[in-house]
Amino acid sequence: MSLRYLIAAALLLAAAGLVLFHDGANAFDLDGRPFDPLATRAAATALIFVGPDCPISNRYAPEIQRLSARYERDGVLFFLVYPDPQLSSASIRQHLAQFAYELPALRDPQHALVDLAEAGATPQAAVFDGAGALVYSGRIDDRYIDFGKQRPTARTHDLDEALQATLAGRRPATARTPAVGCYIADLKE
Amino acid sequence: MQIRLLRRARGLAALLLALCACQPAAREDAVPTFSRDIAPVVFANCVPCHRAGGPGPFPFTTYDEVVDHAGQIAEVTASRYMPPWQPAADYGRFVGERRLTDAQIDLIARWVEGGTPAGDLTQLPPLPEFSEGWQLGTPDLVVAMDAPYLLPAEGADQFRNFVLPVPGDGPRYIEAVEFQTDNASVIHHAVMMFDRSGAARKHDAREEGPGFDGMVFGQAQGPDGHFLGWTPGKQAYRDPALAWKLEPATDLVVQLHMLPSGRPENVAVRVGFYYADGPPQRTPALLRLGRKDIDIAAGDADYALRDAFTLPVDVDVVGIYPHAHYLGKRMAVYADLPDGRREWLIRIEEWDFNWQDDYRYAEPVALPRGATIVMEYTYDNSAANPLNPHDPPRRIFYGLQSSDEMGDMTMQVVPRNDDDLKTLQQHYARKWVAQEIQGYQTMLLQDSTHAENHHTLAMLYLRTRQSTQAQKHFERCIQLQPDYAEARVNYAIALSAARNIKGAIDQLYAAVSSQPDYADAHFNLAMALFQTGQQAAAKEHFSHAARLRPEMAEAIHRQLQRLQLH
Repeated sequence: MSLRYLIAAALLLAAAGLVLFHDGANAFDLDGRPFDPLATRAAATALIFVGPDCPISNRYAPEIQRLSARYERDGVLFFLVYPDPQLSSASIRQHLAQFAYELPALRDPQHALVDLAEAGATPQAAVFDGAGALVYSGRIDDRYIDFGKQRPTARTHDLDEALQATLAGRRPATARTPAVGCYIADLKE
Repeated sequence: MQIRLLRRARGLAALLLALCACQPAAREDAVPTFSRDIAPVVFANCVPCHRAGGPGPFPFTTYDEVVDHAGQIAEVTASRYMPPWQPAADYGRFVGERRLTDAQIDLIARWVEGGTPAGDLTQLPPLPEFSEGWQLGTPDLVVAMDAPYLLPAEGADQFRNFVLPVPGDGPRYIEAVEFQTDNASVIHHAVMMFDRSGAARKHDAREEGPGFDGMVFGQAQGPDGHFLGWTPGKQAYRDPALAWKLEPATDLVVQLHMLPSGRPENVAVRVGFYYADGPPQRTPALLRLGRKDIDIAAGDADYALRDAFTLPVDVDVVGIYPHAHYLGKRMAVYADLPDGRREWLIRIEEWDFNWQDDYRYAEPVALPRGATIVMEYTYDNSAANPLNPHDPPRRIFYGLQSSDEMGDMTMQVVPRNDDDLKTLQQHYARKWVAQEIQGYQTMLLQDSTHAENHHTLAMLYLRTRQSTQAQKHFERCIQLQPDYAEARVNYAIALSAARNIKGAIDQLYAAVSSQPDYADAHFNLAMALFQTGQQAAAKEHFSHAARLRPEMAEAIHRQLQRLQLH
């Protein structure tokens, strides 16, 4: 199934009221409709938490785009998630265009997905298996060690490995890794 | 438990501070508020970079903007990653120090712990004002890139040199330089040099797009006794007392260290020059200490490097530029004075190549004749150093690429008068040549087949009158590259100085046969032939030289006449 179909299916499910968040908190698509990215039953779902003003998050844009394009073929759904409640859909659309993102984006002003994915920073990646269980949450790769401290090249490609394991029906060898970036906890309504 | 104790101790310190400040309004247990306590610290120390259009990533000009990063601000100020300032406190006082006090850091931590209260936002202190254009007003001369450079969206840090022609009108004396860019967020630092040889221009033409890659400047140099660097947030300044000469018809070479941002970025820079009324009263000199025999074993976590220079005259130290690459760890530079005291010049506990900078002393540091300037650096070439460019670690040598290592400290000093300047330069030149020899030896250790480096090393040995060594490297050079005509000519000059005219003639014949249009080779050959009584052949090569270099023809003709008179 192509990515577009999956998203369409997801939108239909969401419209049918199959939003799965327990505590009443919702994420939204850019048209303002409540949207549950995990209601799609994709082989795996990757949520990538990003912030338009976060330099580390932006530096990963080409890598995020590349990984999403590669795993689209295997039926993995990628979503960009914007946890900053102050961000409008218009400014998110502008950010998508500036960084040549071609993947669906969600607003998460109530941090429904943040909590579900145990996300602490932007950029951070979370992988859910076909049953909707969180199997990986953490960095995309280990290039950044701390603010302003980066390896010349990444040694471990954590998101990539987590997706490969999930598609192979295994649990990722490492389920949690620290993510270096801007703190999501600072972003409150 | 320990953390709690620490917090309590911090609370106590705050209480003591509040008591000392004797402000009846401030309750010791009060949570700091943004408007009263945090805004003054943030506006003065963060906003110079973190503002719309500034080099920092997010603006911190309102309560909302600061709150959106509050937890992160508390953490990066506590770790002293921000504001970025490498020199340790109390080891030299510098202009524009960006360092928070422990009390300010504590204030931010308590504000965040207390839930980031706004306080009375009508009582906010005013935001500092920033001029939109040039900080120092309209420059007398602006040189700019013709077209922007397109920095790719991703990849490793880039080092790229842009060649900006300086129009021919002058020379002029310059009292200030200001660097401007529309895209400060991707430029980590810039270094500005000048090239009159045309080499940088040629290099630029060979590569597509504006500029050329690499950390090597070629023949470009800083203006006499000055180092021109720029880092985000740096304030421009005027210094008419140390004005320097900008030669006309020269090329400004701007080397940018750029960091890809995730999207393609247009990078363009402008440099403004401000003219001084006249030449400076005193001329500074640059003293570069350092080692070029760096050879760090793979895995060595604590390689130490030391260099020293004893001043032959009194000087005032005006500025300092410490330099190492990604393995550099700790830096210490001090002067041991003749009276036994130690004057610290700079100390950096955790070197970060990305925040390298040149520092100006708040007050010039006076060092007397006989003071020994010492630099001590350490390096970490282990796998535990995340910045190590090699994984697994490799043996690392001195070199100019960012994956090689360097250990330099350049110091701007002002001697008392021109005689002292001359004495200093003479003493320093001896040290410089010795250092260069070390460097080329080290580079040849890595690649013994580099003909050009053998040539340069041979020339350096000639300067120190070590003719056996010079001869050895000339031989090796032409063995590696038999058609290296310039090396053969220099070898010939060395041989004839050692009274081996026959050997010189052999080299010169080889030079003109591999490069028949090489005027200097013909000229030197003619001279050597004349000395051995081969007048006809000498004449022939003189006329070759004259034909190839018409502008030298008259001088050659005079030389010819002079020789025939003998």
